[in-house]
Amino acid sequence: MKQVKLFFILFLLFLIEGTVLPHVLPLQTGDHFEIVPAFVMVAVLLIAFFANVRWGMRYAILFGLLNDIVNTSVIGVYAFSMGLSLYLTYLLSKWVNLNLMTALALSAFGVLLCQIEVYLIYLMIGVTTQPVTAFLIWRLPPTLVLNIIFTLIFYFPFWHFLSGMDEEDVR
Amino acid sequence: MPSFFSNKKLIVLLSSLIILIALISYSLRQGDRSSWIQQFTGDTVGLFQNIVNVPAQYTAGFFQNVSDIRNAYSENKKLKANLEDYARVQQQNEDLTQRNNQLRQMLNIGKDPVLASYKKYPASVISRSADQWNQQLTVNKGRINGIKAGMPVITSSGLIGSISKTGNFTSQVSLISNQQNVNQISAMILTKKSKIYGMIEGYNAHKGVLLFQKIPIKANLKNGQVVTTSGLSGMYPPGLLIGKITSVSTDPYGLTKAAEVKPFVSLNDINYVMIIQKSSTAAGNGG
Repeated sequence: MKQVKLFFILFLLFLIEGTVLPHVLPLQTGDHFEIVPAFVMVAVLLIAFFANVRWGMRYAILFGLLNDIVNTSVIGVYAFSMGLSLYLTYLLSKWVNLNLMTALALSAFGVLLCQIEVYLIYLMIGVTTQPVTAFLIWRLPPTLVLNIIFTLIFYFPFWHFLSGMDEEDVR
Repeated sequence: MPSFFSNKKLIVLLSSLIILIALISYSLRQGDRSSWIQQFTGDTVGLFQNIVNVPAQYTAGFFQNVSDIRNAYSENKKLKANLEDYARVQQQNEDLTQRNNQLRQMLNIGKDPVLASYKKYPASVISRSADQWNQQLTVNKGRINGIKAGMPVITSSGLIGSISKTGNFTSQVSLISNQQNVNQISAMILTKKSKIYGMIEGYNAHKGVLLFQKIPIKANLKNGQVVTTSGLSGMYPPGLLIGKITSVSTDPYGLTKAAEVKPFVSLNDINYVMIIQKSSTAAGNGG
């Protein structure tokens, strides 16, 4: 039952990314700034940190694929990048003590990694022609700030949800 | 210290890389067709997007209204000034239409379909790709409503793109700012004396301008001239507004001119669109 709830939470975040945020936040009003929400990525990372890396991996690939099919023209890029960056960040997370600060830093790192991977793949297959300087200066910092703020808001409720899940589902 | 990647994980990584490359090449070759899995996923997600979209739009609309009220007075003044001009333009328009009809009758082409006529399907945007590398939208009309891949999409202020993929209830719009746009747009500038033809080939995201190229070197281009579709390509009907020229240059070889065109539509803020279907008989003539 909790798994179904978890799926719907992630799906809701996915809808917020694509459908709600373009209306509510003036995301693209600036000429140069690019603020990209990666809420599903943050949630999936938190699942890997606090619940189970297998679930995290499963949802990362599932929602990556969903994003690929619904919002992009090339299938597989997000599924691969989200999965890989989730795994790498999870490996890093084993080395540190997990609390709010380290979880913030690690999820920011995960989002950063995912952005870089997708950027490199898209650059190779010609989906984007964004110059590297624009990517580093105008895209990454605002994106990280938005996602860190989101993590701050999302962290405690989601952490409670996940710890409730541990007791119920893990045998 | 454990090794970073064990053998088994390396194999998993490599095989997922192979799958990735296979998927990428599949979707690059696919063009405007979409498999049933894609259609099914798009339609199912589209249902939920439709539901979420309504309250989101209302909320956004409320804040928009508040800011609108604040500059209503100055806008009202400006609009009143425009309205006086409008009557004159309307009169002129009627006059020209009448004369045009008369001339058509004289030439016996009265019964031919008007090349510029088209049917409009209104649709609302239910999703937009959050990463701005994929410049594409999802709208809530699909094949059931008569939408086909390749149809041009406009808003009230001008051209924004074309339909790239259709599902049963939703379809994807590839914006003119999309780097992947293989469809170049045949465009023109209408001056008093002549028509200047060229091609829209690409988009500069940093400046937010379209690149209008292959313009004859002798053409007399000025900043502020309006660029529209020419209809020569047969894909877009003629006369759809695209944008205004903001700067003019000569191409590196000195053979043609190039210009930067600022789109009339602010491509980052689109809520409602219209999908255009050209009158069927006009298609072959290159509309």
